[in-house]
Amino acid sequence: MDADMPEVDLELVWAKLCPGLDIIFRRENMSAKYYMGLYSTVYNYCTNLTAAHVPATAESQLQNNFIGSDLYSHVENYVSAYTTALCKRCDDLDGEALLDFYTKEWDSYRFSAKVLDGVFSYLNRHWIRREIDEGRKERYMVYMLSMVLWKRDMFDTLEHKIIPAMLELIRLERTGHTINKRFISAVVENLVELGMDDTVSAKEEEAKRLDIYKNSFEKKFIEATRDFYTNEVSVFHMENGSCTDYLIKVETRIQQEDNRVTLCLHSSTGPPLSGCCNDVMITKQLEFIQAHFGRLLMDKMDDHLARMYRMCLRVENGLPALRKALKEHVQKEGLEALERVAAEAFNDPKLYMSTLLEVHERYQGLVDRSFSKEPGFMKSLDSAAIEFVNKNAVTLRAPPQLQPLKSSELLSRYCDQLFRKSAKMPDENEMDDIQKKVVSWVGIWACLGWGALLRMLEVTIFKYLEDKDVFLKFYTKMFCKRLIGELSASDEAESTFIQKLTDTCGYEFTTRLTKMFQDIQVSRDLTSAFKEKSADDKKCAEFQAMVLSSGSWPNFPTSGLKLPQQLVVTIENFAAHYQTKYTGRRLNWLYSQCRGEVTTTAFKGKKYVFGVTTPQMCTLLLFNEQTTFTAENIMEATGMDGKSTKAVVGSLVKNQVLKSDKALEGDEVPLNATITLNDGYTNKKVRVDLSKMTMKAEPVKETDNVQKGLDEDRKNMIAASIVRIMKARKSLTHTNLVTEVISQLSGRFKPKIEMIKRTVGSLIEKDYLKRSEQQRDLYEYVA
Amino acid sequence: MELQRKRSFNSSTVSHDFRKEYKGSFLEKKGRKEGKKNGLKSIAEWIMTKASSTKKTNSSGTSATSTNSASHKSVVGAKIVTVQEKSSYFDCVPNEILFQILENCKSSESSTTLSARRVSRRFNACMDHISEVKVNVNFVESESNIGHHTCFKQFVFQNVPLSDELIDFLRRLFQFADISKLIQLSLSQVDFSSCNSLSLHRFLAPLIKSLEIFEITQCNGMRADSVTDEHLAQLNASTIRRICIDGVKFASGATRNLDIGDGALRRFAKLAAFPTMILDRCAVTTNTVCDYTKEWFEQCNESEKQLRSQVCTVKRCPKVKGSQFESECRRRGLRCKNRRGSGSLTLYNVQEENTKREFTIALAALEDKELAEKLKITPPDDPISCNLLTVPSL
Amino acid sequence: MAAEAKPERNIKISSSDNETFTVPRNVIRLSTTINTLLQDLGLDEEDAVNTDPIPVQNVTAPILKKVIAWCTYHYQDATPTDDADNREKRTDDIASWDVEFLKVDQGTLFELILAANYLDIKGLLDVTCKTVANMIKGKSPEEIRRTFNIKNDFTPEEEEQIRKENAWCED
Repeated sequence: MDADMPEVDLELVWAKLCPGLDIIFRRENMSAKYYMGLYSTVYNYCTNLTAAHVPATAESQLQNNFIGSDLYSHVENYVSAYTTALCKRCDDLDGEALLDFYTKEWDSYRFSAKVLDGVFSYLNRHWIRREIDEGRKERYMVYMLSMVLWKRDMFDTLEHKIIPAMLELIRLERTGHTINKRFISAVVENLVELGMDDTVSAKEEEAKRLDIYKNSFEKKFIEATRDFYTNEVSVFHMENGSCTDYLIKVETRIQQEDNRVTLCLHSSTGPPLSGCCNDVMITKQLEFIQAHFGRLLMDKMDDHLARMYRMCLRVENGLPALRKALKEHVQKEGLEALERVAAEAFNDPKLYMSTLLEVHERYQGLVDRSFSKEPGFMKSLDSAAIEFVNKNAVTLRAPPQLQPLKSSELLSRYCDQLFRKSAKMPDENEMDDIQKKVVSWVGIWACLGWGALLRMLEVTIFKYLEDKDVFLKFYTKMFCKRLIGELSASDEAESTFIQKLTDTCGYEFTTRLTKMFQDIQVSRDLTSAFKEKSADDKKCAEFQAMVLSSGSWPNFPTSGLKLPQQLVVTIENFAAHYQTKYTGRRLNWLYSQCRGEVTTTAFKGKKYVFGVTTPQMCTLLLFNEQTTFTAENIMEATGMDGKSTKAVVGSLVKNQVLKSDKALEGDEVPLNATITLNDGYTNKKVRVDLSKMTMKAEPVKETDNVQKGLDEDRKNMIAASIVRIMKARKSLTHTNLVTEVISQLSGRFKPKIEMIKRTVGSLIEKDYLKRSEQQRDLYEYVA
Repeated sequence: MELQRKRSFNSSTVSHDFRKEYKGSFLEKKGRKEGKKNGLKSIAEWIMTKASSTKKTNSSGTSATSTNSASHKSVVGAKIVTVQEKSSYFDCVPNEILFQILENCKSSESSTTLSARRVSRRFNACMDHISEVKVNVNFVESESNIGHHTCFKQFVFQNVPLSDELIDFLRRLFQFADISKLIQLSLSQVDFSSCNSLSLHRFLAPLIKSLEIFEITQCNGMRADSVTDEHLAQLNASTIRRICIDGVKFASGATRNLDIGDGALRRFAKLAAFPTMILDRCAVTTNTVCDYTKEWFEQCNESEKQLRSQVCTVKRCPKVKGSQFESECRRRGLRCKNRRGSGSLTLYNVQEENTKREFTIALAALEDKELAEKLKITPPDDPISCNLLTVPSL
Repeated sequence: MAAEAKPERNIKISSSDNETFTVPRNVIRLSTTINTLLQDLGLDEEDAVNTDPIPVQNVTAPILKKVIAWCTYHYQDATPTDDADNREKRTDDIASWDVEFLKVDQGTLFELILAANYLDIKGLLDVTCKTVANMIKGKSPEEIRRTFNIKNDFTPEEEEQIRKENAWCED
């Protein structure tokens, strides 16, 4: 085979191909026929020379390669000439005009390259593929080749003009002008595509793909951004802009930049861009921003707060300072609010509660809305609340030893008010008005529904109250009274509340309450059964019994009482009835808690129905026989002890049903006083409740009682907890033990470290624990 | 009368030059003997025979001597017989296609490859182009950046015929390369038929200093002395940690095993080296394997390193029997428990007395046919005709 | 290319001897060459007017017909991944339809190979090459030469050399 034959062939072939390439690059229409013609030319050229007209000697192999490479070079030269010429045309262009030209030409070029690739696909498929496989550098598929040439001839040369032009456009846009985004996005696409290199593996390609884009454009872009915004920020400061304005500005800018990425740039630029913006506009200005936080809180500018939160969220460590500030502020607010109402709220649970709730609600709302319920802020709120719920101006008014109890007391009183039928604690002289009062406290809240109520309670009481066991004690007492006095507004409400307590504090916490509640239910059933049974028995008076299991209920003082005849029969019948149901149990009558009604026409002939406690009843019934007694007589006759008699009679005197010739000592009547019926007694109402008087004295005493029991109970609980822990762990250091105890008991109360220490000491004495011999502060469990 | 020899052979259509071939051939002699007047006849005869024999062409250089005595008559009319050859379809097919076709041929049987090569130059060249003889070499740039000193860490030879020439070439190469850090030498699918025992010695000699992995897998054309105890003795016992001789294919059906026997195991045991071993078709015996195991146990107590999974696999070695192994184990105070295995392996649990240490032995059958052949007996009834031992560690 | 809402488009192609064939778009996509052409020239659009047939100038009508027949049978095959190239080549997995299809004379077979190469139809090229490979396998060199009418251009020395160099292949 002659050496110059290929040369001739190639020239002929090229002569056929060249016009076709011209058409392609001029983006003129081409018919399928012409296209196939070109394709076939390439095909025939490649195959004819490798088919066996030439015996496959080593030289001819070489010749093959040589020939393939000739054609390849021709293509390369052609395209290169095109791109070089194109580049020349850009000599005079700059700025937007250059971008315009560049992007248009790029679109067109891309298309042409693809067609070119198709025409030379046979060359791609075989010869070029082999070259690449054999590791020959600088050999590319035709499309890639076009890209490479574009980069080399167009982009590399013009880079120094194009990139600045793009950055200038962006700058213009930032200063408020409208630009043709297509210029930027087209060049970005161009850069990304130029980075594609299908000679490397897929994984490498991913990483390398954006290299050109990043190096040529992105870096400079970020720099320019940084400069721009740094400048903007300093201008802002020079003009003494306000913090809120600043925040708005920052937010706007960030939004704009995000848009820019979405619309014009490659998505991978998003993170570095926002990083840059955050850094310049937020991180560096953090102090400035956060200094205003307090002010905003005070001014209650929720929107701005929300904005500040969003901004600080974007940077690291943007939030801790804010959280701290929030906590301090809320705490301050809470304490101040309570301070303002301290005097009144001391005895007004409702006011206390509503103040607490108000503060809490306001800031809860803030955290929810403006701070998107961010956990850190929730925590701040909680810790602030814990501070002011447990120790505030109101509690500080109490005597020192009672201070820890005050909050619990008030809260439990509040609950009591809620659950009572007519919740307001009546003054002595307002009993008449109670019924007239349209709006009862319960009424207001009932509009909201028990659910909302309970939620509020849940919030303050359970979350923040440290000494929950105190609360429980108070609550139990009041609950007991409500049950006995049948004062509950709604059984359902009571049981829901107990359920809530159980959910939060555990089953143990509420066993007593539940039992108490159950007892009442049982009693009701018992009584109705009894009533049915004795329906015909005229001797039995209208009667209802409550059987309380002694373990669950608080202890009541029992006192003797001689019942009037009318009652005795009923009682005995009931007792008998009960024994049939529950043999082996003993009934202990608590007359001091009993109530009844007495109808009388003793006073000026007007019929009155008195609601009385049983002792009162006995006392009054005595007057059926005579009109005058000494208190001592009454005592003997009724069988009460001295104190009770004094109190009972005193109450009747205070009610003006009875008269005493001696003045009352407090609420009590001296034993030697002479008691007579007060004939002049009048009351507008027919039904009068005389029993309430006796209940009033308790609250203060109650608090004392609570305190006493409390320490004892707590010691026991700590001890139990320590034993539990040590049994499980076998050995533990002092500090760890203390921590564990505190955390175990956190649902009930906050034990003092002193107390824990003492308890540990006592347990050691009792041989539950011992100190380890090796380590000083290590305790070991004694099995 | 002198015959005018016509230039009747058109060399443009017939590329085979009969004239050249006629010179010095027996027909010429024959012609001379019979006298010139039969010159034309003899030439004509010669042409006819030649023409008919080219059709069934083969590689031997001698021409077919079928005489076609009747044919010369038809020739004497000065009819020119030009032999046209039909062109093959393959001629129209570009090389790329030929590559693809031959790729499909080369997979399974190597005989096709060889046949294809011998068809024509083009075929041969194409086969060259597509066949692979892999010599995978991984190397690492030497730490000292003095010049471009390449430091080899692994040699993997695949599908290479191991010949003395190659070994010489490689040894020369090794002189200029840094093989002090060579860790792995693997010969895979290597043909041993053109080298002998000494060749491997020479090959290994410069390589073994720090060798950790030595593998000869799926090699063919092997002989009994292709790999022996002496070769293994060359290896550096303190660095070697894996020896794998697997998938051995012998050149001759008569050979049963390589000359790797007890010597190798004993040597290693003595040097307190317990590399992971896979020995296929070797001459090791049950006793030695047991001894080796016992030594290994003992060494285990001493050094922590032995707790990595050590596997000693002994495959298709005619002198190792599972039942024997059991009794040998017992003798040495190793308790052996039968346990069902997986696939063709039966697993035994071996426990040393007084310790809690246990390891598992797997047994698999030698192919019954081979066994029968060798022992000239029927395969034993016991299905666990054990000849494979795998001794993994805890 | 499952259920397409638009109606089947048909593409017209013509052979070197000017016979025109109409082929559904789906089917002809097996030919990468034609496929690329349609895309590059914008003839793939809905509204493209494609009156002139695409000339397939290196393929005669009978061969083209066969090619189209093959594509029509196979156009729904899943496209093989690149991985297939790297796996070991097998020649015993030719589908039976293809085997029947390729029971033709050598001339046609090779024409099909060339056509598949020209039109860049990978599947057809693969299966035809495998078929030829099967015709080569198991034959001695002489037999191969005879089957395909290949000339032995080795000198005896050369041939001996080759045999020696590759002798280890022989069992």
